[in-house]
Amino acid sequence: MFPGSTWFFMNNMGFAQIRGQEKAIGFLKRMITHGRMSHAYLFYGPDGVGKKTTAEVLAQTVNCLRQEEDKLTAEACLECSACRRIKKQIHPDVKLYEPDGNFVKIEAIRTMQHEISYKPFEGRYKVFIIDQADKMTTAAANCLLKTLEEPPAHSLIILISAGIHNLLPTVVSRCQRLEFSPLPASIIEDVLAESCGLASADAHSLAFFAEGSLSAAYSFDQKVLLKEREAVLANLEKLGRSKEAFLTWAASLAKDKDKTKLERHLKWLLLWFRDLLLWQYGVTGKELAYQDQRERLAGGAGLYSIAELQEKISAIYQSHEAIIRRNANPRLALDVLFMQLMPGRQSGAGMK
Amino acid sequence: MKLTIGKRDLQELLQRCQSIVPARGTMSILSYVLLSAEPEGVYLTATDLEVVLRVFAPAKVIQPGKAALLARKMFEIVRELPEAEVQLAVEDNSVKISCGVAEFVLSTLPADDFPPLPSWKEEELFPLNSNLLSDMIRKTIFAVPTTETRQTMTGALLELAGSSISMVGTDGHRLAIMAAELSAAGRNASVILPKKVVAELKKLADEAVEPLQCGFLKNMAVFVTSKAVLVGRLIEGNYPNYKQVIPSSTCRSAIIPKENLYGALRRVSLLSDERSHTVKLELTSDKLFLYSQDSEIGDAHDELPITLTGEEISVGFNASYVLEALDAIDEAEVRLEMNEPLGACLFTPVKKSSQDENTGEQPTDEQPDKEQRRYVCLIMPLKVN
Repeated sequence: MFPGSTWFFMNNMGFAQIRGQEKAIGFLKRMITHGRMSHAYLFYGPDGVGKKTTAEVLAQTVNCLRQEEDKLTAEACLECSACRRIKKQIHPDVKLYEPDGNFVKIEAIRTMQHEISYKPFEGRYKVFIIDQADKMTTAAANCLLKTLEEPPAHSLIILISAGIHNLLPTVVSRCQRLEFSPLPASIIEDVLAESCGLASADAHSLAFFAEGSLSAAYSFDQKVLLKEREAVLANLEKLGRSKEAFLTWAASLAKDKDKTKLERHLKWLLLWFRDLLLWQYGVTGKELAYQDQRERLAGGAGLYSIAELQEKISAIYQSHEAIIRRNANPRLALDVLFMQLMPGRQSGAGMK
Repeated sequence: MKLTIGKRDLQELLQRCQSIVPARGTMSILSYVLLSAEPEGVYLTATDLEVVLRVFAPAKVIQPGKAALLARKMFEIVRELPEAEVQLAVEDNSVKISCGVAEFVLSTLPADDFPPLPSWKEEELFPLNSNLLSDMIRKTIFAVPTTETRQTMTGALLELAGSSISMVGTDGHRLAIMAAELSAAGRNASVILPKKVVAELKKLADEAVEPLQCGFLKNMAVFVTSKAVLVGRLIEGNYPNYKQVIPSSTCRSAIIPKENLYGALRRVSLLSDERSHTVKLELTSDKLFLYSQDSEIGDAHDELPITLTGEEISVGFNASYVLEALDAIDEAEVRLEMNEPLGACLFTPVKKSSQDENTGEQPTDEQPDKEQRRYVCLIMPLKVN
């Protein structure tokens, strides 16, 4: 959702600071120290889990000025002029290509092919990072094939993509693939607490909201989000008591042309019902998004049976789908949804 | 950093950098020049990541230091200043340019952001005659293509082996080779210099009075004069095996006065096909006939007296390729050699001194012939009917 924003956010990240990708990074480190680097890598996995940061650190590691000439170690110093300039994206040998508009176009690939034909300017390797490689046009991808197959010496091509299925199989088969996994909420919670100074309960909630993407967690307006969480909780209280309260809530949410606020409310709602379900199964620990709201959870869980909760969760999914993807009338869809969510009612009963 | 420099000197330095600074690009630092004030004077460095040029001028440096300045704006400002001493003072993130009462403040970037010049040792350099270098470039650069899918061909090959030096350019349709003997044994090297580097090198060689100090580093070629340093990034890969296309012997050879051929070709090519510039050459024992035809406009014909050894032949050429080859030949007569209508055709200058011993064609005895042949331009013919 917010690809690559960590690139600008984080200071001096080395391999050691990239969290939750031990498998991919361990593999890369072994390749570097054994001198068995591939000429082309494909980093794939969800957005905001460290793919671009890893690519950047890899570029720093192979071009760090404090590395010995012929024996690379897996650690960049992150302080020398080369490391600093790679971070600032002004290193002559490290180039980043991003979609121009909606696509990575063939012109970008041609520019890259021209630049790759030179010997390195100052570093050991020329590193070319193609971000959102799945946005390459077919022409661009086909144009890249020849270079991927036989790149000139001293070059390292890193493709970054959310998945491998949107890429041409001919491109995928020419790269060493490296999978990046979604980050566990605990890691995002730690990072948010450390770097944004959030209270641990708030960081915990936001970490669940980010769904495994650190850059998403960073790009949130955290204050707004936490306020919305409180609003959702307050409205849920009312939902049980007053029939009119949910109509006012639906009206206020449907008012905005921009549907992102509505989407966020739905997500908080979804997390609430997920927690209720977990509670029913006896989960009371860190796995709850609303960990700090145990009392409310205990109270809420009593109102629904497991089967009911499952129905409510799928109802939230369906309204989200209807509003965001199928362009349903938000006010109508929300009215129906909130009626369905009211305790003691069967799904669909609200319309009767 | 603080210094005083003559307006004219500073303007000249900045002017010299303008052709290097890229017009637009993704890296904003490249639109800056690195100004570094050392006790002996001022160095200005500009680069587009293909060539790096560092120029020097003496200046009164009060406080040494470094900063990156906007290349184009600096030049525009300095050009408009009155003829007087210019004071430059860099503080924090800006430079103050004062001349008389006029004062400019420009923002700067940290010197560390600028791509560093590679380092080399004095003993890695060796002298090269700047005249020879300029001549070699002039006679080969026209054959180097600006765009080409085979990236290794977008540069000129510079080869040093013992005491011989050669430069090669080719676009796949023609090939220009200039070889020469050096008085002192040089180094062994074989590098591909991008076309822009070669063009800048020619400028440097033309303005130099003394021999250039050259050096080949791992990824770069360095050329040093007393006033400037030019560093060229090399192209990776292997140059096409150009020696393979040069016929080892030829069975037809004609000697033609260069100016006459040049004139006739220009005339006849006026009516050649717009795209291919095809001119048909018919060589008979004592005459060369030139024909061209544009199916929509008309046709042209001209003829020249020549001496042909071997059988008569008729062959088509892209006239502009031949004209460019003739341009590169300084001698009064040119020798045209070939085997068959669609095989490679060699254009070589006929040297006055060596002409006597070379009148009889000796295709079998190729060794002595090759050593004398210092410049060759090979052109692939076009199919004509």
